[in-house]
Amino acid sequence: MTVTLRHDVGTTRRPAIDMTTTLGPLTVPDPVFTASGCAAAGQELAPFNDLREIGGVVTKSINSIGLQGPGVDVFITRDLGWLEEHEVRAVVSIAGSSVDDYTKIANKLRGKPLAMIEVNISCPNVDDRNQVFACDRNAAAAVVAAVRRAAPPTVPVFAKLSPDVTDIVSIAKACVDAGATGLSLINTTLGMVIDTRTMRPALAGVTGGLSGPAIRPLALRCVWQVHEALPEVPLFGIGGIRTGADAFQFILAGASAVQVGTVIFHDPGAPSRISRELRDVLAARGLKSLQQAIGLAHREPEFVIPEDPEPLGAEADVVVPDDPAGSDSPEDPASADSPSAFFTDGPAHPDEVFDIAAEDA
Amino acid sequence: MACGVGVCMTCVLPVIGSDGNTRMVRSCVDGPVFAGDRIRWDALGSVPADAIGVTT
Repeated sequence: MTVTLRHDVGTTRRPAIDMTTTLGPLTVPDPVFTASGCAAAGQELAPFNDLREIGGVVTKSINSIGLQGPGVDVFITRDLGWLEEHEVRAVVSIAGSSVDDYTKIANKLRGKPLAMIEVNISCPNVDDRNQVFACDRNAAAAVVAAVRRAAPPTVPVFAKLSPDVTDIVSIAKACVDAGATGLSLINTTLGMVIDTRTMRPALAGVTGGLSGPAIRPLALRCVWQVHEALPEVPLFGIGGIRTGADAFQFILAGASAVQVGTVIFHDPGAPSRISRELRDVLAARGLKSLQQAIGLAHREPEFVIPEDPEPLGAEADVVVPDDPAGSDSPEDPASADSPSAFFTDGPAHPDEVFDIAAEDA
Repeated sequence: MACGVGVCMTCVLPVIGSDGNTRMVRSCVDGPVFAGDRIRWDALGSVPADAIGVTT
């Protein structure tokens, strides 16, 4: 396998854009974080990214079962210790199979070096016929309230929601009412593959979490809906982000920060690259700060969008025709296209993959 | 194997360490070569209950 080290690329041009963002009481200098389950606990990505410069690392979910992870105590001493020593902001993702599980883990995190707790509620609740917490507003609220009570009072608590619900806004409201500082949108959506050779489900668990570019429009819709309903609540946009322009879409929809996950599997330097690309995209749109762009797609622009000197290259994957009313302008290829042009990708990464990864739990 | 750098956890397998304890290790960064008699062949594709770091 060929690995390209990216940390020395793209440093020649660095437009002066204020990338600072706030997530409740937490202020970070950059809005790009790694997504849970896609960066282990950060160390492995250090050769490919300056982890101090990005927003932070969201660790793989820890719970009292451990799964492939090393267990909570080892995680706290070894992994959180490493992140603190290297001045990397740590967002600790926690999971559980009962409200009590979540409380126990949140209690263990008291006094530990972490910037935020992200509550992964896409887990089956053993006390309620294995119904997923994230799919029931009462169960979701119970977990969030329990974690909020147990967690250090100054540490923001974000709830990570599942898109596999009828009305994500009602779950979002329930979590915020229960004390969530903010929300992470979205977790993977449930999918499956059948192996046509064995004629059986390909995954041992039958279903798995679908991630990657396929879920980006779904994730973006969730961010849009929740920001519209709860404009004061800070949001992480998560789902299929591969480029700075992808991240920009989530910011415009109302996310204060983003997390990148699946893309790391084929480009471990993606977090830093996407941060640089997002900065360039903001500059190309005449924006002076990230803050200016948050939720901007919900409002009529109050400024003149500068002439686009050239398309944003591989990152420009949403084509906005100059004249949406549809006058036939042959010099604008976008308006001549079918409506599907709004959703098709531009020059895609040749190695684009749609992954079904193991459930992030 | 998805990532090859140790973050995706798709290549983990149960391997017995020199201390006699089983750990879930990543074949991409902890391997790729293991002594055959250290691998828990019977438990491939699962997480054995006695694996270190796996508490219940």
